[in-house]
Amino acid sequence: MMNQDASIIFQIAGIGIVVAMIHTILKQMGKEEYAQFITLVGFIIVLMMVIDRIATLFQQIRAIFLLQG
Amino acid sequence: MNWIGAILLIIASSAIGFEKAARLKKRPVHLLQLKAALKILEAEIVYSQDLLADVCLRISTQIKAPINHFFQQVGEKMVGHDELFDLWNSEVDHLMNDSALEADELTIIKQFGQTLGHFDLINQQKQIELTIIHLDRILIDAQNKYTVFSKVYRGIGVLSGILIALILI
Repeated sequence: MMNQDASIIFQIAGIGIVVAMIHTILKQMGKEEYAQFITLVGFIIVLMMVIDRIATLFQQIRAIFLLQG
Repeated sequence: MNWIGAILLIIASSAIGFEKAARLKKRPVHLLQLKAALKILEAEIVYSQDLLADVCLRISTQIKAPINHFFQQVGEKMVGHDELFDLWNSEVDHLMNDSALEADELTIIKQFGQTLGHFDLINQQKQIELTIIHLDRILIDAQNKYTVFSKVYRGIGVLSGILIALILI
């Protein structure tokens, strides 16, 4: 479990770096709208990857503070 | 196994980017060839006043590929062809597939084909000059595009490959 968690952090970091580079290149070229779009797409992809982990996190928080029904 | 797929993906998308950049680089070269061909055509029409078919064949020997192919085809097929304009148009469409030229300049060449053979010497010369001026304008545009976009295409190609590989791993 721990191994998998570490690998997803590096994966997301890699995606972030690459998206930032594409954003810079597109912005230099003068295609601001594509640059914004690619950043948004990168964000959505990363969100999809972490969404069930975030769900688990909230579940656990609720469990810790005895809020679960 | 994952790594092999990732490397293949990166290579493929980089190749697409480099191919795009190469096409961008070829466009001004092909435009220059086209211009040179028109200049030869002008000289032949004004000074030697040969048959257009012979002139086209002569141009095809003096110009490099892929523009020479266009003039060769026009010169060869003109015998037994009634309407030059139709032949010219269909060969221009072939040229679009063979070369890095784009729709803008091909429209200009098609328009030039409409005038070919319908005017006297002086007006024909004027038409050729007008076409060359149009091509000059497009040539400057193509050169600017090459300097601005060629690096971008390469960068985006490599980076998008890495991005897709990272997402899929």
